[in-house]
Amino acid sequence: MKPGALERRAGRTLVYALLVVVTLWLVGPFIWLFVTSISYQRNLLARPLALVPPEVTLDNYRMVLGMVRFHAEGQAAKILPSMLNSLVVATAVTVVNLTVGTTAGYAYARFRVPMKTFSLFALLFTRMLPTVVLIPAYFLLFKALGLQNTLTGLVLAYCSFTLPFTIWIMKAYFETIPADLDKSALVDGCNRLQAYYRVVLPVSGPGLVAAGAFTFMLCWNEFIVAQILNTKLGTTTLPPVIAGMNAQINIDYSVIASSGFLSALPAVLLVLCFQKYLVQGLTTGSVKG
Amino acid sequence: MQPITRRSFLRTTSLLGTSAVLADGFFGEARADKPINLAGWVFKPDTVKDYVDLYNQKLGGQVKYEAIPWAQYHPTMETRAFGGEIFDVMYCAHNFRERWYANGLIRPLDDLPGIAELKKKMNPQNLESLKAKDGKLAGVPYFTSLFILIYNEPMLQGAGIKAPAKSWDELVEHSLKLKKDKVSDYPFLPNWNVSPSGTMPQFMTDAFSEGANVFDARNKVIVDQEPGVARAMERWQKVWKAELVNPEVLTKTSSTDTHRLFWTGRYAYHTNHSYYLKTIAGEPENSKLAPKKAKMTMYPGTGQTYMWTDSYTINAKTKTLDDAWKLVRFLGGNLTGDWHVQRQWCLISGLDNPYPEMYEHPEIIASYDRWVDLKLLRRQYEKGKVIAAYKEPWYSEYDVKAVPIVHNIIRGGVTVPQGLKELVKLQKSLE
Amino acid sequence: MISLVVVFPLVYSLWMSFADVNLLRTTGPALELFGLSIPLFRYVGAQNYVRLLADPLYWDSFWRTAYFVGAFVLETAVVGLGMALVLQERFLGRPLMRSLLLIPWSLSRIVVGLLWIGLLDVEFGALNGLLYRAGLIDSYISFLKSGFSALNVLVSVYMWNQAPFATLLLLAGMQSIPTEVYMAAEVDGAGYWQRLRYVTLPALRGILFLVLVVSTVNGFLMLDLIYILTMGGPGNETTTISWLGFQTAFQFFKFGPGTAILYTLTVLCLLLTVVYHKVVFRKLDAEQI
Repeated sequence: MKPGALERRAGRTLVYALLVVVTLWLVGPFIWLFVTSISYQRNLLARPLALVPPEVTLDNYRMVLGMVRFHAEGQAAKILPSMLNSLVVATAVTVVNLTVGTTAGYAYARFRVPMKTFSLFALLFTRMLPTVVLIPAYFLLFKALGLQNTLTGLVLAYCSFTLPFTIWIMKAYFETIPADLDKSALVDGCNRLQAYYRVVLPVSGPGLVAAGAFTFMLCWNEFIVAQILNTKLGTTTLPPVIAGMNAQINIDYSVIASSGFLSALPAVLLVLCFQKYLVQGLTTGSVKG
Repeated sequence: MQPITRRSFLRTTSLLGTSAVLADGFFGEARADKPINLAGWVFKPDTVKDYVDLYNQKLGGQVKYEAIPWAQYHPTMETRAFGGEIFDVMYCAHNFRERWYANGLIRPLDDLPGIAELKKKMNPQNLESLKAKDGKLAGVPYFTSLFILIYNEPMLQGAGIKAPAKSWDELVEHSLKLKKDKVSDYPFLPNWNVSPSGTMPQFMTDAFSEGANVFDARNKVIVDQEPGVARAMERWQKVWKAELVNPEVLTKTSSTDTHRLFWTGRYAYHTNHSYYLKTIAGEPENSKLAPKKAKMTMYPGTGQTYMWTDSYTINAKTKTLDDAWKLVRFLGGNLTGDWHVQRQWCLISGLDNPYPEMYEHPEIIASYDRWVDLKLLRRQYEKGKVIAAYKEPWYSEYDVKAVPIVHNIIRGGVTVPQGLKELVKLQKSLE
Repeated sequence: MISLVVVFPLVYSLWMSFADVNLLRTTGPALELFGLSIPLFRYVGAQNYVRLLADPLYWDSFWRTAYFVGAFVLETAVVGLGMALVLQERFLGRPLMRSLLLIPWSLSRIVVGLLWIGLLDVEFGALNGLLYRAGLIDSYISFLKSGFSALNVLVSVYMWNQAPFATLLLLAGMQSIPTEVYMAAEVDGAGYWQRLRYVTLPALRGILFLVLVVSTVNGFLMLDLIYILTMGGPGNETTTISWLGFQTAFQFFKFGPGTAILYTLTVLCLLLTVVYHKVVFRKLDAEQI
């Protein structure tokens, strides 16, 4: 027990009361999204509002998944293919980050990189750069390269803002691993690369998982870049399609909610699965600078 | 929507029309069209899909249809055009037509076979609307629309108001009373949504109803010199300040979503496009005011309201002009000999039609009569007022950027004269 | 790699901010590079910037952005710290709570927006429903009614999404405070608030600073929530600089003025990076000693 804790009984009650508030604040809205997604719109409009839905239905999900015809089925039909696109893009970017990004992070952690201070600064700046300023350039450049409306284009664009994060996190993580470990491997006759792959990487699991999960989550959730660069039918990712659901006219909120909940589920589950490593990796990366 | 009636109807009528065409041997040769891309904004996309399917099955078409959200439709189409995509046939709203035409995104249609005949059949006002600034035809009609005033009869009667408002003063008075008596939180529902079919058409409508002009003969914005516009805006400020209007209207992104509010039966008066009369009156599963005839009344003041014509256009870069034109005639003309698509919109949605002969058809008259007073609607149509300003290349940008200024006037963020001056300044800055 | 996907587009965007870029009519010279033709457009000098700085709309957005960022940073710090202090207490299910922290943070902002529409909507919002049930209001409130209220809604919703991350960082920081320090404080008779003020907060100074910088940058860049919740309205009253730049660039494809607006934002971020960099590296140096 932390000696900083409140000890008297009144204090304990207060702590639990505050915990309830915090819990409601954190998960209440998300749970309500789920509740609306299994409700009928007419019950959401009722006054007074019933907090426990009087009727439960999967109709909204049936609509979103294309099992029932309705007027916005055209938009709904984009959800599953775009989910696949999201998966492909997020996975590809994650793989690039875990190979290129971690190696660069290792280099920063162990070697005297030329202009280290400057390049670290540049890295930091890239991390803080408004991605939106790059979009007009991507728009024209990708057009010239034939990368517009391709998943490759999105992967490239996403690397621009995920790599700095990964390098930063991994640099900090590698710094927590004693350099003696590499040295002993070198003594055993490994070269630098072998030492990195055989000795350092295997003990960097938590860092890798954190960087990977984090990258995946960023890509899964990215909206603006995909919205502008990949407009052609079948080339875009999930967030623009969900935003498109919201922009449908004459559509019930309950249907939008079910599409939103469905789209959020993978990232939420991923983050919850890896939460231990994620917290550890991210805090190491950020706190250590 | 009543899916059963709609679909069964679609099947019978369209087959009749199609067989007539086939008998003519018009498209008798067993040639399938080349693939065509059709893009439209979202308005009853299931209806569109039905007749596109029909076209593909019965008329040898290979049309791929994509529906794009309304509020972002035109910028999205531009983005995609820059990205190198070619949509052979595109919907285009009145306010973007000149921008697309002048910049070579869409082509003139005057050289295409059969166009002269279509032009003759069109109401001259609508035909004029579809021409580009250089006088060439830039599109064929999707529908025409105008603003109307609709009211909630049960609410008014319940509150002891015997007849709907005949003047703006009366409308405001009724609304104040309904608010005071707690009959309605927000009795008045003007179409102030942010999309191109909302605030600005409503702005022009209310200006016209006050007998004012918005543009002069040279298409310059002159709202700062028109007392009628100022009167309309002062009224808007007044109803806003008295909280007679649901403030959420300002953030709605389509006229459809705005009129959905009226379904709830919580509002007394609503101004919107004429084609929402039918959903309000005829969709009992959605609208609390259905099923019975929609109650509209002549627009107050001069009764004049803004009327415009939205269109089907052909991409200037299309590689399949013949097939694109065939599709456009199916959609906006009379390919099948029974005005199939044009009639569909009259029957299913009650969209107003720019071809007057449509209203001579007993079936269409009967259909309208089920849910609206067609004579009254046609009288209101006679009062429709068109403008030529949207044939200026700056118009689309003006039309979009004016919305926040008008919203600011509504909410009292600027005085009326100041706000109107800003509109004039905005137009000047875009020339 | 990073230079390819970041530096070149960044330079190209900078160039566009000095050019007359109207995509409807592409004219002007092109840069031939590796067989690609990249349009250069017509150079117009600082014209885009001059017009921008003379445009009252830009300055309105500028001050609005300042308010937005200020309010967002403050709320994030206060709520983030508040949640950290509650979660720091000893209670059953503490690891579970840490997982719950990640939920708001792992949602895409599109879903965050949708979810809050479900809570705040004037027709079916659950918060309205709750207040109505409790008899606190007799008609549903329109939270997005006035521009100022809408702006504050945006701040709070974004804070809901971002504050949990601040909490994670602060919790990590609290755990690294040695227990002995608290023991000593308690022996000295320090109460809860005194320990918070004299022990906890000073120890968290570095992390709090980090939270402030990161949330400042995030505040400047926020775009997707505006897209889904207000589209910059009502009027222009939730139009921030990033939204203005985004709209200018992509509503009418005026990339010149659009990139100019976004570049002013980029410069601000660069300045913040300098500050952050200085502090972080001073800290690093201190650690190395």
